[in-house]
Amino acid sequence: MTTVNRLDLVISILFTLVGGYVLAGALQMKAMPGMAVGPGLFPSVTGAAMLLLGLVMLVQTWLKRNVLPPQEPLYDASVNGDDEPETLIDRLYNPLLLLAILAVILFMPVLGFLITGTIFVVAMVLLGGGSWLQAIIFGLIMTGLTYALFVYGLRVPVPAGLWG
Amino acid sequence: MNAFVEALSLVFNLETLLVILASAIFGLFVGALPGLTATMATALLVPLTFYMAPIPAIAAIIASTAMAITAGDLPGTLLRIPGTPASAAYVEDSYRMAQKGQAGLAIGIGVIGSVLGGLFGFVFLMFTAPALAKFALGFSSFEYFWLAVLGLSCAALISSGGVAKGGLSLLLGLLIAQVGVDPLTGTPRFTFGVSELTGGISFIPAMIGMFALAEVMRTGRRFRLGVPQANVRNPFKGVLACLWKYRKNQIRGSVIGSLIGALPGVGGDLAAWVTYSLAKKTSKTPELFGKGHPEGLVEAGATNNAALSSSWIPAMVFGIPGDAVTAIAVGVLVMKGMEPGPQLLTSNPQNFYAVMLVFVIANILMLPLGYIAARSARRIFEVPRALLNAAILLFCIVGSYSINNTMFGVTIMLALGVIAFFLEKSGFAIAPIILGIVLGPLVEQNFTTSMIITNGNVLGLFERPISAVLGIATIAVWSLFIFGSVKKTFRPKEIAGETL
Repeated sequence: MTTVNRLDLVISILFTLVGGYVLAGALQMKAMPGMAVGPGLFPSVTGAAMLLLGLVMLVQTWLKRNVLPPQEPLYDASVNGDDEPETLIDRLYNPLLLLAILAVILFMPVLGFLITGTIFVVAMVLLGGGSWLQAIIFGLIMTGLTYALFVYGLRVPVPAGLWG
Repeated sequence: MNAFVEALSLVFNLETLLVILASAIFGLFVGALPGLTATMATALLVPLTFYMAPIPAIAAIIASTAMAITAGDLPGTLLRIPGTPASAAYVEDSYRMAQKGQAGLAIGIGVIGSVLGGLFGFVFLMFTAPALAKFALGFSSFEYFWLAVLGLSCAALISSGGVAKGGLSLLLGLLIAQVGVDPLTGTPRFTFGVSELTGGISFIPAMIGMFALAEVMRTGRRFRLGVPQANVRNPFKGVLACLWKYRKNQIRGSVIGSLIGALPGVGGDLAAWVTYSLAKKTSKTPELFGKGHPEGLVEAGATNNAALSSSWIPAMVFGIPGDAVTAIAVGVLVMKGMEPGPQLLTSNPQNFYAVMLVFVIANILMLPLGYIAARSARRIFEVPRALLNAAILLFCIVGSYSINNTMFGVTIMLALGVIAFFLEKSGFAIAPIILGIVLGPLVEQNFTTSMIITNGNVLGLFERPISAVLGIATIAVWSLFIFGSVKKTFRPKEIAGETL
């Protein structure tokens, strides 16, 4: 049975395509009249190199299709409990984390830092396996401290929201 | 002499000293926590440095990095989880020592050895940097172009993942650096009509996303800390006797660390691995290595911080950082108007001496803080991961927002964090991307200037003697790695063929 490292395959294809796109775009950038070089010179070099190395990686991925990647752990997983079976919430942690940040990007300008930040921290603590009490106390303290540090300590404004 | 006195006043004031202390404690906390790296500590600090004066800003980075790297020995010794790639070189020995009830000795060797190594690196930096700066004053765009390319090439090629992945990481960084208005003609490049991209992609949200967000995603929810198997009662007991016994290793580790760390683009991680294997090869008892023997620990531990200090040589003298941390520091220097390069040492020597003094203070601070950290290691490990991740993520958001006061920075942080997560999962190194982002404008500017001078003739890049040497060295390095990579790619296939 043929096994290909799918992530490597996808990444190498993406790099090849991006390299090709950058090269094509760079070649269309014209130099100013009377100048030997233009704005497309450096992008064309990097684009061509990316296209080439993307193809090299693609070939390498294909050549290594039956070679299993080394499975040497950096540390003893059993020491840290990492050898326990993965649960559904473990698998959903990263997608939910990203969704939470997206929600912050959308709602922080409207609701302001204090409200959005507190809700975000509470959600993240709960997602990480903390209790409701822990989440609420930590959410309020952490958001308050961060607000104080940036607004009063560094004099950096944070989003105030529609309520000012 | 006047410059040195001025440097004293720049460092010995309440603001700078408080910043050094706070950053050192922060670095110690982050470095001691498994899964959190020195680079992450630096990345999270940068948004704060944005609002500081130049010397406190750079002091914050130096103090937190030095402390985080030393503190990285704690999880290595007590939990067998190396805090940094460099401490991974001797984690087996330090962990086995802890198992034998010598946790205090192992941590003490790490801390005191790092202090001595760091101070040696400082002396090396102090004496070599001004001489190199005078030499570098004669450099033109040709030499700077090749030096930057050589440094970037070394960083990409020795990174994990091999030639193709290292090269692609670097090219991704260079590509990110090209987004925005072209410096030569003002033509918008790769902005896709998005007005926020016209000003380019700021390296701060990029770096926060790639090092902090990606790191949280990588360690994830399941990262639970075990309770350390050993207690640390007196961290420094017997350390001096041990260091005296292995004084040759201490000196050799410091010297080699300083030399390797000073190479542009190489950084300190490689140095610890080199000296650990050297210690093993030259030891009278090589069979004890990896089983709780302090000899390799002494040598590689000294190398760690010596390399850390001397990796600032290419960063300060040429503006070519050796690793991700110095790349971030170069970014901060540029942001603060302290353009790194020979002029920093010749025109503004007080700033250079001030940075040197910060090195000394940060290294000396390691002794009391390292002692406290070793004693309270258990408490540091007991911090719930759920709270820690939530705090880091909130800081990532505010830090990325605060650079331009727009949510666009947060969007950049999110996008690049996700990209870095998948790239790292596939075996790509992230440091070359950051190096590419920081050095991209310098490489492009010098490349374009040189090409204008030579009227578009590529061979003109080799016409000056030093640039020719650097150019040939760059080509030789690439050829060597490509040859090795081709050999490696075809070797497993032959084996597979034999087994089939």
